Amino acid sequence: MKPFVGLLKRELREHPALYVGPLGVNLLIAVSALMLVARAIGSVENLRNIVGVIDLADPAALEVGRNALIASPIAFVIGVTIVVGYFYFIDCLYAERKERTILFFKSFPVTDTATVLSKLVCGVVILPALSLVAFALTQIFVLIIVSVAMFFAGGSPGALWSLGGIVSNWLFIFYVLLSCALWYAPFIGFLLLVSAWAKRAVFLWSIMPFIAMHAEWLIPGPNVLTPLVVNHFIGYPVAAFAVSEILGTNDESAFMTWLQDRPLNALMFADPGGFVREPALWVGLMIAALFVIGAIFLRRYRDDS
Amino acid sequence: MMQSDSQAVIRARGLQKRYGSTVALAGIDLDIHAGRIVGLIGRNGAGKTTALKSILGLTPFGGELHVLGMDPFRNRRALMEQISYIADVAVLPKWMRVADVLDFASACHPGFSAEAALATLQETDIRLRSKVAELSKGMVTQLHLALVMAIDARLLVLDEPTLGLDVVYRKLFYSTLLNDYFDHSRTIIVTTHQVEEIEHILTDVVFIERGEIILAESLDVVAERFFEVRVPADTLERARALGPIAERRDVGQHVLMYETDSADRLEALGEVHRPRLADLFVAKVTGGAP
Repeated sequence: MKPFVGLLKRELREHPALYVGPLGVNLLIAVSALMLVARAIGSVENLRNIVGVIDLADPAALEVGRNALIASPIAFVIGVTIVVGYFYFIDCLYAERKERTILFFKSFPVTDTATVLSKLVCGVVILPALSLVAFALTQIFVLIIVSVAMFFAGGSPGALWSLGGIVSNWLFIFYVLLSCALWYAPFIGFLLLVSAWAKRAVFLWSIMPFIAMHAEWLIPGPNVLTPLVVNHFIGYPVAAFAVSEILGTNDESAFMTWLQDRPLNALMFADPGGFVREPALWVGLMIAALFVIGAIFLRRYRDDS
Repeated sequence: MMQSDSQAVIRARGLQKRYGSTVALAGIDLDIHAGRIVGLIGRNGAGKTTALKSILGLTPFGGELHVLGMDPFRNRRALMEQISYIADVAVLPKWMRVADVLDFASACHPGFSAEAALATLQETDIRLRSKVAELSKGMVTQLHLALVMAIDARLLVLDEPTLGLDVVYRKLFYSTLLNDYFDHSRTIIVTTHQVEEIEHILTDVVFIERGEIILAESLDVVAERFFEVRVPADTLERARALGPIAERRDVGQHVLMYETDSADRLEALGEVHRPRLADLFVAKVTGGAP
């Protein structure tokens, strides 16, 4: 266990974007909220305008206000997490070969399997966990400053603190991050394999499937790769959420519209049972395992030094 | 060194390695025993780094190879617990802080003592918060040494450890290694181009050329088998008739090298002395061509 912890610490030191990304975007959200409230201090009217959306007398308006305050920025946070994760995965096995530091790391009694798995854990577990924790803390911070602002504006902030909604939101984000990691595991595994394989231009190699799909589209005849990749890519919401049972339709855009309006109620859509029974999930995980084994094999057998 | 011995720290029989059509190791046999300091000497591309990589389990190989009784490729993790190996100093990650290097080594190598490394570093100007990128080459060497000496290993492997360093740091490196680390139970293998700088610390030497071992002996045996004679012009033809393995010119004089059991018959030809390792290497590599 001690060597694996050492490997995880190495990843965080070598790739500070793993924590700077989630912390940075949440700091931005917190500072934005703070500035918004700070601008209104001294003017009760301005303060009412800013926090006035949270009209305690109107449950619908209260819902909209709470959504805006504590749930809406999540798309921003998840987006940054995905971008950071993408660049982390394509760089994590490539940088050590490019800089020849692989010889240093291979001089320790650590297996290639442990090394590659430590990178997988960093990207799939630690990065999303940091994002979730940072976002939860940001939500609490935003609630505190808005509560203070409401108090001075003459309102009562008590209803803002419906902890059920906040915890439900955290559980929803946790479910999204976990199910996304599992569903998109083949893509993550592919990025790891590219990182272990590419001798240069690793970013170009990472988008090669898109180029291959475009080439397939240009060539007359039946398409094989494109439907396989695209269907899996867009199939996540239907696989992870009971969309049709609740909305009566499998239309992803209808689900997204609903989600935008009621993000704090989104947990009701989570369908972990249906998700784990989805054959495409397990096929994807097997493909991901093959990619990861390929990355381990390359790090073990290829002599780049 | 070459006698067969199943208890050898390193035992190779028919060790082979190819990169495509290029033969890096052409089936070498080698035994290295405990408590020796072995210089693995060869030209660029001769196969010495490939031999080290095979010994360290970094690359698959053909033939038979046992290091500390283990197949290095199959048992790499277990083997590396008993080995201290850091390639040339340029591979230390520049983004790491010195404290991070010690922390990583402490977590990943059971034989590493952070206390020992800290004790070594306290005698230097290196600060724990400094990044490797901020250190001078000399400081990186000192950090390198601190790491090496803090690992309780049976086998220490150094691949061009002083590459790019000035003469002061090269000498510091080897003198510290010899005085503070080597205890006659450990085995050290070192490759370098600067043969003359390690000659005095070696107990054994292995010359490798085109993937083959052309000499593997203790320096005691080398001293008894190889002689150089500074030959005046009037005895040159007689000297050449005795079959020297190499001939060179030095400040206008002819210097001939012989491989023989006794120097007695050479003394009549001119001034006899023991060859420097670098000259012996050149003689063996050039195959005796004058």
